[in-house]
Order: sequence, then structure tokens, then C-alpha cells
Amino acid sequence: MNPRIMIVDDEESFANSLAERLKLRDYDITVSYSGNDALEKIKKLNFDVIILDVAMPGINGIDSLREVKGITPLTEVIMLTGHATVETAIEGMKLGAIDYLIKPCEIEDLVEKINKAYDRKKEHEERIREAQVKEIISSPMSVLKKG
Amino acid sequence: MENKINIESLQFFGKIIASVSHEIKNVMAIINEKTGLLKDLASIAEKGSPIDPVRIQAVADEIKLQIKRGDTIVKNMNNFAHSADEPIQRVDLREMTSLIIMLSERFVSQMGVTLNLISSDKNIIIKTNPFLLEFLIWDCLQFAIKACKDTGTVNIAIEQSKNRAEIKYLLKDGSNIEPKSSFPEERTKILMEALCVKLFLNFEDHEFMISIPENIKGG
Repeated sequence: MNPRIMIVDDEESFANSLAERLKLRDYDITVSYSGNDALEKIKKLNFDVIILDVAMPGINGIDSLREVKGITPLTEVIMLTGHATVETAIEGMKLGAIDYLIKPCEIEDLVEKINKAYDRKKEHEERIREAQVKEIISSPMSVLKKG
Repeated sequence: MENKINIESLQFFGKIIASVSHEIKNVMAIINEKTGLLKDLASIAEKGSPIDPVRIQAVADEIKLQIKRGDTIVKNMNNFAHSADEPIQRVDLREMTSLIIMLSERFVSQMGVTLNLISSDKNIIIKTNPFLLEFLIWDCLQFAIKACKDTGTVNIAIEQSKNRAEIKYLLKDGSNIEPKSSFPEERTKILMEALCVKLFLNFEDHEFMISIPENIKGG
């Protein structure tokens, strides 16, 4: 299955072009033009990686990031920023974003960061699965109780 | 007092330039993606897949649109920068207010507010300190935007009366002016004094107005 990515940016033209280029590289892409819309979408779909613009009207990138991490903690977030808001992107990393990129950026750099983020998410999911298996093996009754 | 206004003026100038440079970055980022997309499409064509010329044309049109957008942003920034050339100049208040509204677009959209300029086509020429007046118009606009955050609309009406020009800020829908609002702040008062501007507050009806002399004292 291809990595499922969501691009969140209020610059529609930018988000659409980036989406088209990533689709050509076989990613499964969803586009959102606001933080509020993005939060609605993550409640319905499970995304591997979210590319999140920092400066957006309404709920901004940092607040969106907090919400995303609250709803789906394993989803990896890459912050996207203009030069003026690099500090905010760094603040985002402190809140759990895996990385940030400054606009305009090269598609190769973005692809590299997406792949790294996707691998980390899969690694986390695998560790959780292994822990669950260990729990089942060490105490099978606990599974029955939970069930 | 002069030192305070100098520092605040520099901060105002910096905020506008930071906002404009951010907008230019956005334009460049879009052009970067569009040209990248053209390269991607060329690469697909090289591999033998047919590319619809209409698609290429559409991307080229979008690039042209962004260049036009960037050009407008730079023109506005240039006009703003030249307002500090001379302390007293003859200016069209309608053009000046329109410029400040355009330069405020990013702040306005981030606050979820809609701005409308209501004015006749007639020029309203006044003799004033352009940079300080731009600062005052912007300062009042910031207050209006904050009061209408998320759901509101600010209508800005420009009118001419006897020997004076007026800018009315009409706050519609969802305006939430604090009952004990600190507006006008010290900075605003200093600017008004320097420009001989009078402020009329009518918070009950969600509006306020600045009245500007056609000829500033000593001008």
C-alpha cells in the first residue's frame, strides 16, 4: 500500500501542484486548505504523514499539530514554512513534528523527509504490535479479560 | 515622545516588510512547484506517455498569474517604502487606505476577517505626513480586525467633509469590542497628535472614525 499523505496549506495553488507532483511519485494524496478541514479529515481517514503549513488563517499550523497529535499520535507531521516562521516550525518539532521544510523547497528533499517519516511511523506501529504480541504470550488470560 | 514614535514606526515598517516578504515567498513557492510540475510532465513525455497540451498551457497560465501577483505585491511594497521619502506630501487618501488594506491582507486573512473599502471614485487629496498617516490607518485597522476576529467584517468608508477627510471603521457581525477597551493606546494618541487627527469613538454602534485635516499644520 502506498503511503497516505495529507497536504494542509491555505495556498490552494501550491497545495494542488504539490499534490499532483507527489501523486506522480505514487503517493496517496489528500489535500486540505485549512486546519479545521484537516482535523475533520483525520477523524475519518488514517494518514501516515501530514505536510502542514505553519501560517494559516483560522486554526494555525501549531494548533493543528497539537490537535493532530491528540487524535492520531502515530501520524507523523512535517511542518512547512516561509522564512518568517522558522521559529514556529522549530516549536512544532518540540510538539512532536518529525521535521520541517522552508518554502520554496525541492521535491527531492520533501520526498526524502516523507519517506523517513513514513518509515518511522511503520517502525512505531511494529513496536506496538510486538509489545501486544509479547503481552499475549506472557499472559494469555489478559487478552480474554480484555476481550 | 519622538523617540517612542521612532521606535514604533520602525516596528510598523518591519511588520509590513516581514508580511510582504512572506507573501513573496508564497508566490515563489507556487512558481517553484509549477515549474517542477512542468519538468515532471516533460519527464513523463520522454518516457513515451502522451501529455495533453491543454494541461501544459494551464500550468503556464498559472505561472503567469503568480508572476502578476508577485508584481503587484512588489509594487505595493515600493509605494509603501516611498511614503517615507518626504515628511510632508500631497497624497490621495483613497489610494493610501487601499494600499494599507492590501498590505494588511495577510494579517486580515489570518484573523478570519473580511475587509471592504467603501469609497467613491473621486480622489481625496490631502497634505500630510504619509508614513505616519499610514501607520495610524494601520493601527486603527489592527484594532478593528482584532475586534472582529474569526467571524467579522470591517467596512472602511472614506469621505470628505469641510476642510477634513474622514475614515470610518464600521465593525459588522461578531464584533467584540471590550467594554473597557484600551483603544486608543498611547502610540495611537501620539500619532493622532502629530497628524492633528481627531478620533470619534462610537463603540455602542460598533464604529469609530478618524478625522484628518486636508492640510497638516506647518505643511
